[in-house]
Order: sequence, then C-alpha cells, then structure tokens
Amino acid sequence: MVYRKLAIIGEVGAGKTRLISSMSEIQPFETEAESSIDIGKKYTTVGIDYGRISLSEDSALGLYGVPGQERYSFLWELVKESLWGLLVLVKYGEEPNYQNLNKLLTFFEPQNKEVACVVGVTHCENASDQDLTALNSEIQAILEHHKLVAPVLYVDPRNKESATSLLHVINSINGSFSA
Amino acid sequence: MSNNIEIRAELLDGIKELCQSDRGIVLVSLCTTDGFSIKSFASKELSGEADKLAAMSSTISALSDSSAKQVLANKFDVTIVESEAGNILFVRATYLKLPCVLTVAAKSGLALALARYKTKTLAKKIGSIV
Ligand SMILES: Nc1nc2c(ncn2[C@@H]2O[C@H](COP(=O)(O)OP(=O)(O)O)[C@@H](O)[C@H]2O)c(=O)[nH]1
Ligand SMILES: [Mg+2]
Repeated sequence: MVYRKLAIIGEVGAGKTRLISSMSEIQPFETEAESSIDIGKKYTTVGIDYGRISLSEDSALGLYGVPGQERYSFLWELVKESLWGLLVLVKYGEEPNYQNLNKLLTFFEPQNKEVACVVGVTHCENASDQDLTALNSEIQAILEHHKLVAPVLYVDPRNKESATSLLHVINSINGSFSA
Repeated sequence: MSNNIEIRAELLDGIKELCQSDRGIVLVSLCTTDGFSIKSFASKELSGEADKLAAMSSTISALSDSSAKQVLANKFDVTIVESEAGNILFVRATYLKLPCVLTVAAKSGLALALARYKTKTLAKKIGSIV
C-alpha cells in the first residue's frame, strides 16, 4: 500500500475543514471548538482535520488540515514532512493576511522540498474578474518572494468536483517533477 | 485577535491557592477550548509561552473529546500526561459559562492522585464563578 500525504493550510475561514469533508471517503476526523471570539463562524479547528481518499487499489491519499494561526505551529510540525502536495487556501473578500501566508510558506518551504504546491482561492463565486485578477497578482508577488511556482486556481470547497480538481492539478505537477 | 475575558478575583484567588498549596505545582493555566489563554501562572523555571500552551491545551482537549465520544460515547473530563519528571493534567472546566480547559503541571514529588484531586477541585471552583 502506497500512502501519500496532502497538507491543507491557510487562514481561519478559508475552507480547509469543509474541503476535507467534501473530498474524504471516510467520515473525517475533526477537532472543532466553539469560537470565543468573532471570526465570522461558530466553530474553529483546534487540532487536525483528517480525511482519506483511495487513489487506486494500492494507494491512498491522506488529507491533513491544520489551523493557520501561528500558535498552532506545533501542529504544522506534525504534517510538514514527506508531503505529496501542499494546498494553500486563500479566502477572497477580505484583505488576505499576507503576514500569515508568508509565515506558512516559510515554514512549509515547498520550493526547497520539491513539494507540488497549489493555491486555491475560495469564497470567490460572486467575485468580479477584475477583483480576482487583482488578488491573483498579489498572490503571485508572494509566491515570487518565496521563489515558488504554483498555479492559482479558484475553488469552492463545498463542491466535491471543484475540490477534487485541485488533486488532479497536484498530480500532474508531480508527474512533471518525476519526468 | 485576542480575547477580552474578565479576570475575576475569585479566579485569581483559586489559582493562587492551588499554587501555594504544594511546591510541586509548577504551572496552572486556564484557557478557552478554542485556544486563548485566560490566566496562567508558571514557576520561573518554565518558559512562559502562554499562548502556545493555550493552543496545545485546546488541541489536547479536542482530541480527548473526540476519543471519548468515539469510544465511550461521552465527553472527556480529564486527560493526564505522565512522565518521570512529573504529570500534566488537562481538566474540562467552564468559566463565566465559557467552555475552558484547566491545565496543571506538577512535579513527580506530588502524588498524581493528589494533583488530580486538587486540580478537579479548582475546576469545580472556577465553574461556580458566574
Ligand atoms: N460561499 C462560500 N462559502 C465557503 C467557501 N468555502 C468555505 N465556505 C464556508 O466557509 C465556512 C468556513 O469554512 P471552514 O472549512 O470551517 O474554514 P477553515 O477555518 O479553513 O477550516 C464554512 O461554513 C464553509 O462552508 C466558498 O468557496 N464559498
Ligand atoms: Mg477548520
């Protein structure tokens, strides 16, 4: 059995927990706690979100979501090694927390570990093309700063097909790494 | 982002009382289940990263809760980490009706049963503050 590992990172409310529950074949293991501050939703992840997808008869993909806040960096540590892919979710609509994004990318350093990385922009179903283009170029600037090449895609974590399409992109990046 | 939870005198008194009751107690910390520190006291020898400790306590309480629910169909009450140097206890609590975790670390000189009793007593006391 080949077991691969995908880490899903990004700030609070980006859609990490939802994405895993959309994609996973098993009932995901979630660690939600009621939020004591206003973060725009009732529950927040305080541990790991875990889900699984079988890729073929003898291979499976583990989905690992971790909280984005830096005080949870001891959990980032747990999922950082031997990744098949890194998925970075960015929430459209409010000014993204670039400082947080920088911290996450510095920590996971996909460019140095040759880990396939994809950025998924969420909450953007009603965004105008113009706004998306603006966000896209800001994200590109950050990626460049980290010397990181990664496609930026629009995704709806609530939709299984949309979520799964990200996996195909990561898969094809991995194909070109090994070629 | 930070929390603005009122620190009542009864809370401070309760924590102080526990700290002073035995020299083996090196840490007492109360945090919300979503990982924000409310009040924490640590002896000088411990590095005091209250926000990280609060995050860890919230993770452990969530994992404990998931396990207890999965296996015992019940909520968790206490999780204990034992080591040669001492024990860490994580006890479910409420403070001003907020779900919280009370974390206490005691050196091995303090018997686990006693540390557990003292910690649960404080948790009960904190829960009665409304
Ligand atoms: N409208 C909309 N809602 C979304 C989208 N992605 C996630 N959500 C919702 O946003 C909320 C926060 O998502 P969650 O998965 O908890 O975020 P996390 O903090 O990254 O784990 C949930 O209610 C999701 O259903 C999206 O693309 N569009
Ligand atoms: Mg989450």
